[in-house]
Amino acid sequence: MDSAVFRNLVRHEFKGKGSWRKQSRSRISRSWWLAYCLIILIAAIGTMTYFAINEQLQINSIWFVTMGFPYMFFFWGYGSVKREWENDTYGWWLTMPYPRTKLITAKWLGIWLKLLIGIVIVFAVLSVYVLILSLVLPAYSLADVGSFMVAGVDWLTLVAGFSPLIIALGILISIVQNSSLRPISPVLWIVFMGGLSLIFQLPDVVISENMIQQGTEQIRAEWFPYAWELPMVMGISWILTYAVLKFSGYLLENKLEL
Amino acid sequence: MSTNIVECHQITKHYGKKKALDQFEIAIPSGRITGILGPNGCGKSTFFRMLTGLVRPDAGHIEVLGKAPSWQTNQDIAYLPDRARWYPNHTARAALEWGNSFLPGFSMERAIQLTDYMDIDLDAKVGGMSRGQEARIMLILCLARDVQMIVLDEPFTGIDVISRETIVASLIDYLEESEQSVLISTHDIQEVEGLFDYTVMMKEGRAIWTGSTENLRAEYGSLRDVFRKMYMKEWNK
Repeated sequence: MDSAVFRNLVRHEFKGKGSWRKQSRSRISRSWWLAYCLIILIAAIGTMTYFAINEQLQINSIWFVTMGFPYMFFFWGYGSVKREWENDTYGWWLTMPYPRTKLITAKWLGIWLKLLIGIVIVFAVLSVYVLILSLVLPAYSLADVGSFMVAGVDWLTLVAGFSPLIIALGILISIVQNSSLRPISPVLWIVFMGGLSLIFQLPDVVISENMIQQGTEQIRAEWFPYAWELPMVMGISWILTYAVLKFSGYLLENKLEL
Repeated sequence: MSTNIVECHQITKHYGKKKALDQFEIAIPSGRITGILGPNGCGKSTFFRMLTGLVRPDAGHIEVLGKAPSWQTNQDIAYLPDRARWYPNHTARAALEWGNSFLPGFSMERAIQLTDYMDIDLDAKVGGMSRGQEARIMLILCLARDVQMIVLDEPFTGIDVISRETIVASLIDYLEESEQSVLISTHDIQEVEGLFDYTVMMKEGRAIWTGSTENLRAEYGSLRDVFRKMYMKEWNK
């Protein structure tokens, strides 16, 4: 396959192609949806700011709003394939004259790039918010901001590092549901959802909440607070990602049930 | 080199207990406009999906363009899937660019001519179009390709009468000049009666009649009469 074609495939997957299901929602409900999102956002910022003004906000705990990222990434992967079926575009997608492993890899890469950009944006926005707090409120110093950012880098690197596998598993389960292996999909759901929860055993190591507790010694976030095995586990997860994508391609090629 | 563009021998395909194709036997000559006709559920779409490697037979042997169907053979097949839709966020132009990027033999110039002929606004979003307009875009993605075979699975389903007439007119115009082999499946033969020069009649997963449309007419009368005679039970439903 021509590398230019693969680049175009990734670009195609990167762009939002829309959903007929969402399209069929009425304009009113879409604007309500937007309004709800805005209300939640304003409420979250308002609450955080209120606690910060009252010197009760443990700023590192702000990172807990990103705790749902692993699940979100899983469902991005899952939804990317599911949407082809929902939109009735799978026939176009799967009859493109390219190996299906490449088609699925392009989809995976498109999502991963979106995800990395999303992570960087979230990191930047939250860092700026905390920086503003430190400049305005005397309870927070620039050192706190530094610690907040280090904790963020630690946590988000972990999430980004495991995200290739998480996305690939989301893609796999969606393909399994359209293949002759469909009967095992409930088992896969349980295993994958259970497996994802393992990642939540790590935040306590990464995000020290007590850093600004009054009257106690400040606990600063440190670079790479993980065990030395972690990079190895992450490396293995990348190899696993490759295997999962290969297997997904195999299922699309040989076990599809339409 | 085989003069048949498609050959199937004893193809069987099950979906659970239902047999979609049952000992399906067929040879379709190249360079013809072939109508694959039959009532809903007779196996037409399964057969087309097999041609493009979307599904595999449980038993039997299939060859398309002299090879087993795969993503490689799809380089030479323009396929309009059954009940297909297009990406709602794409404009018509983005859809054509998609074709230009990914479909071998796609001519952007030809595609733009066709959008003009079929009265499609290139900057309109697919999500805001009627089903008929969307269907025309999908048809353009197939007709703008210089490939050996065009496979159109139920291209008229769910489309309003005006769009249907536009599509049939453009098909007739286009295919008259073309030397490509064309396979069109439909359960609704009224509009396309004059289009086919080769016909395959299917029933319950089998080909029950195959041959030139002229011979079919000589034997049974119009295609409408053929339908009435061959599918008596389905016709009366």
